[in-house]
Amino acid sequence: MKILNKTSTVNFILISTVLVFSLFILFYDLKDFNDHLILLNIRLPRLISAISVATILSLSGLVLQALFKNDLAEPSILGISSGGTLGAVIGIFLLSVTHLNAPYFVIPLFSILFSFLSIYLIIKIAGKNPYSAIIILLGVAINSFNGALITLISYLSDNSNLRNVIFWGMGSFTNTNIYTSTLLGVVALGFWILYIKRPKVLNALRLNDENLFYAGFNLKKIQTFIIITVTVAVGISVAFCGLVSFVGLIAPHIARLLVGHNHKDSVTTTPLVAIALILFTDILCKNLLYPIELPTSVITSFIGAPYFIHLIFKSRKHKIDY
Amino acid sequence: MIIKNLSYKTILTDISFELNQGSICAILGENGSGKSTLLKTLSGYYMDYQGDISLNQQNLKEISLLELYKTRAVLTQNNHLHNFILCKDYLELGGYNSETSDQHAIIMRETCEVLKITHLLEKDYLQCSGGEQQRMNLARVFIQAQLNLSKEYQPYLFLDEPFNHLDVKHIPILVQQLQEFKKSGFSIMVILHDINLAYQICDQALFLKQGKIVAYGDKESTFNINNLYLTFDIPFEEILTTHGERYFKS
Repeated sequence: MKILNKTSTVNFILISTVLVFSLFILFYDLKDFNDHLILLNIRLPRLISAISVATILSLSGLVLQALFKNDLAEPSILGISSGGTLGAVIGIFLLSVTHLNAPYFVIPLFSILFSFLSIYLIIKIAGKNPYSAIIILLGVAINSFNGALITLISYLSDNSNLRNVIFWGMGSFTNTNIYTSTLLGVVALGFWILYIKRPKVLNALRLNDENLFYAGFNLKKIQTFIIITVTVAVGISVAFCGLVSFVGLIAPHIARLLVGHNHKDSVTTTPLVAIALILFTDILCKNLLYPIELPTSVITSFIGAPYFIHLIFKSRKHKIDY
Repeated sequence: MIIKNLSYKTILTDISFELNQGSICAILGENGSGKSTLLKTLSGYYMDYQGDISLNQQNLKEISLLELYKTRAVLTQNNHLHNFILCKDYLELGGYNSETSDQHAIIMRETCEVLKITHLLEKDYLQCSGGEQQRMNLARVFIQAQLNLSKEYQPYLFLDEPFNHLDVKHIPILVQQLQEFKKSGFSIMVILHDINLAYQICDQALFLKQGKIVAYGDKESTFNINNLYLTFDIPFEEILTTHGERYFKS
């Protein structure tokens, strides 16, 4: 009997990669190893939030793809991320207009609310058969609607807030501190545990609605569970680190290429792929045009957009309907 | 299972019959006569029906999803999957809500051997042929049925055109399987289009026409050219072979 199967080998390699990247991010060019200030206040929070955001976005992509039976579904394409950005922008705008000294967690709450509204709208409009291309088309509509509102609000707001608005659209791990990154870490871990316990449900979503019912699953309950957990996690991730696009799309696909289509395996491998990807991207962002730091979303979109096109061509070749 | 004055939308009107325990009942009727709708209603998928359906002395509307799962297994006509899944993972989907996990592997292996799909388990479902997919669907349903075979409930099997895509080699295998399910106490309702196959395997027959029952009862009394003409609008001929077997020819 083999001690290490394919999945554990893949996961082991991924974990090693992540560890190497993490050590590089933490200690690269650190003049003095006793420089706790930089390590604890800048690099560690940055690392933790990058790992958390990668986990949240990629797992969201995986479960949304299962739920909608559509390989193109993911938070940024469905407008959940842009909803979160809109929420954060509205939150900042309202706080600056009303001059309220509101506590820090107000903005994530706005993000969660608008993330939820975006996906809720899509499900309501899509109606009885929320599969196939209509989900993606509605996502396009919601995205442009959210984008228009974000532009409008940033146009209306004064200069100091404008900078924040641009930050949210680009995605970056620089503006996190030890508290926000801890919160992100806890949310990401909780999110991951919720789904690592439920690979059966994700697998069962392969069945159509009727067969799902006969197999003893309540689709309404599953849908509600997925939508709520995803919007809460993505909302919080967007509120602190902005919009990082395409990670939710690429990571599940790479994971499936590596370990296959059973969620029992892909639910662990997907976040690991995403973390490796994001950390690599982050290293590129920091060092590519040093000392200028590129926004994360620029690099992820550079990789993600061509991959998106590749997926569409692949789906036509294999006659899979989205 | 007792069905009283069942109506569903405009598709089914005033259907009443009693499904005998441990028997096979064939549903026959032309396309669009409401056969699949009847099966879906009896399986609990369409809950907004009028009339009464009682399953093991319980109102169907009051039975929980999990209890239904343990009482009946259903094969639908449309088993299309939108994405890849290995056949062995697909078969597991049938038993996800069962508690008896130690039995699962044995039942799964036996079912695969009987339906001759063991060699396909490592293949992807979408890469299988139509007949192979149909056997895979049957296996998934049979696994669910066998896993939940308990003494508390009278178990049911609802099969919508189970012989679809099956070749001559596999039809007798499925016939044999249905007989075995019957022997172990299952009440089976099966939609069929082959009248002679139906006559061969069933104990009762239910003839449907435009959502109404034309005839229901024991197969010897209901299978005649008159009922077949009323159901299908075309004349049938009855042939008696030298061995005393009845055949129907249109």
